[in-house]
Amino acid sequence: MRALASPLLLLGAAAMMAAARPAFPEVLAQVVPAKYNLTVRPGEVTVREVEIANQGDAPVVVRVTWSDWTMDEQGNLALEPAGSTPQSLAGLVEVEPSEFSVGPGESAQVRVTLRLPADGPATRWGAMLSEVRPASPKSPALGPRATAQLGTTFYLSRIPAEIVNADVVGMRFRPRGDSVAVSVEVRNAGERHYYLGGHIAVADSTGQAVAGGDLPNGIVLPGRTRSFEWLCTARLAPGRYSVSATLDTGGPELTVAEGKFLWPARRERNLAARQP
Amino acid sequence: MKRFTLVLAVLLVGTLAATSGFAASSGTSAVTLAASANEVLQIIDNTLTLTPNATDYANDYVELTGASGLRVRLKSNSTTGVVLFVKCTDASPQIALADFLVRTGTAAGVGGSTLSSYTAVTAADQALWSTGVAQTTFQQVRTDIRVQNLFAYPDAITAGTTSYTDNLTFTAISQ
Repeated sequence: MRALASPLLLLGAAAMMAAARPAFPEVLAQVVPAKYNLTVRPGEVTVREVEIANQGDAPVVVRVTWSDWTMDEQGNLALEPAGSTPQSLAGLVEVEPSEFSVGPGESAQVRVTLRLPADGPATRWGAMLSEVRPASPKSPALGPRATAQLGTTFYLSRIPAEIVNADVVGMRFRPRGDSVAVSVEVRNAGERHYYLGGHIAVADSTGQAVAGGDLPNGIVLPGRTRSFEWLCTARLAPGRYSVSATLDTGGPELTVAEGKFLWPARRERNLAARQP
Repeated sequence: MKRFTLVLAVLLVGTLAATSGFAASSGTSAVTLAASANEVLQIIDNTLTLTPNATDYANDYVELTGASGLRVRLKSNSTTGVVLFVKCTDASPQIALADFLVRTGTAAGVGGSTLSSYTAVTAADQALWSTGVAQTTFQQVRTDIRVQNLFAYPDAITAGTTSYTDNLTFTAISQ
């Protein structure tokens, strides 16, 4: 229900240039830890604490909520409403207190009580979100007022961490300018999440190492496939190359996958990975 | 009682030092740091005021970009990186969300991504900036702000300007 105002009135009301930095107190907050990986017995009550520290120079008000999250194959994380995913922890977690004040230079503990039922998904996950805002917020004339929110990710599983079920289901090579993007696709066929890191080694047709680097670390959620990409920026002479990906899931054994590509590539190649 | 304990401890240390002078010995001491993943988020610009001038009204938008944009700093020691989201959860936003656009010109971290073109703010979190590796020093993320459709925001018949404010929430989270 907005009316069109007289341009003269608007111009008269806003004659200054667009730029204004107010001297309102900043929000500077820390959460410890930012992540919990918990293995529990079914039905067992687990209690953990999360510390919210106000490192700013003004008092803040903290409000704690819960959120689900999902992740796509490229590793992009999306926050979702609590209770909206099959693996949600909503209804199985309680936080105390859920709203409190923290003075400058002080910190407060949030007690998180979790329970994993014997039925349903063997692993559930979510995020505790701690919204931190100034105790005395101010308003700008036209524009945003910003609030900080810090997440603590929780994984709760009844499957021991030693049981990892990682399958390399593909290796993809894509030209990207003068570089080659090497993607390793990993499927988690198990019921528990695991973290994956790894190393890529590129060798020419004589077996001489020509390039290498680390894959980014990341989580692979149960029942999901995730792609990990490394960009080979080394200048490659025309020829055939072999790629070896050594993957570490934290288990006792490393997983090694191999693939080959021709450079320069005429088109995208999508090879099934071969595990020796 | 405390003083006695202290003296005893000093004597004990002195004895050990003297003993080592006669018989050479060595040992190891394991020192373990139990590090936790943690995040720090700083909203440098708690509020930001955009004041349109005549040119802005002619363009029908006002914006603050680059160094003038809304500044947030964050760091995280999580080896899987961190994602910075932005949203507006106001029940009745004073600036219509369709008129409220954000983007960032800050380069993504290694293995991360950015929201590099203007996108309307929504009530749901949108990834603004991310990195796929630990961000052990503060990274400043500057958010460009654009408010468009300016004539939809009338100036009331009162002294001074009329305020329209939306609350943005910046969320940092690790996987």
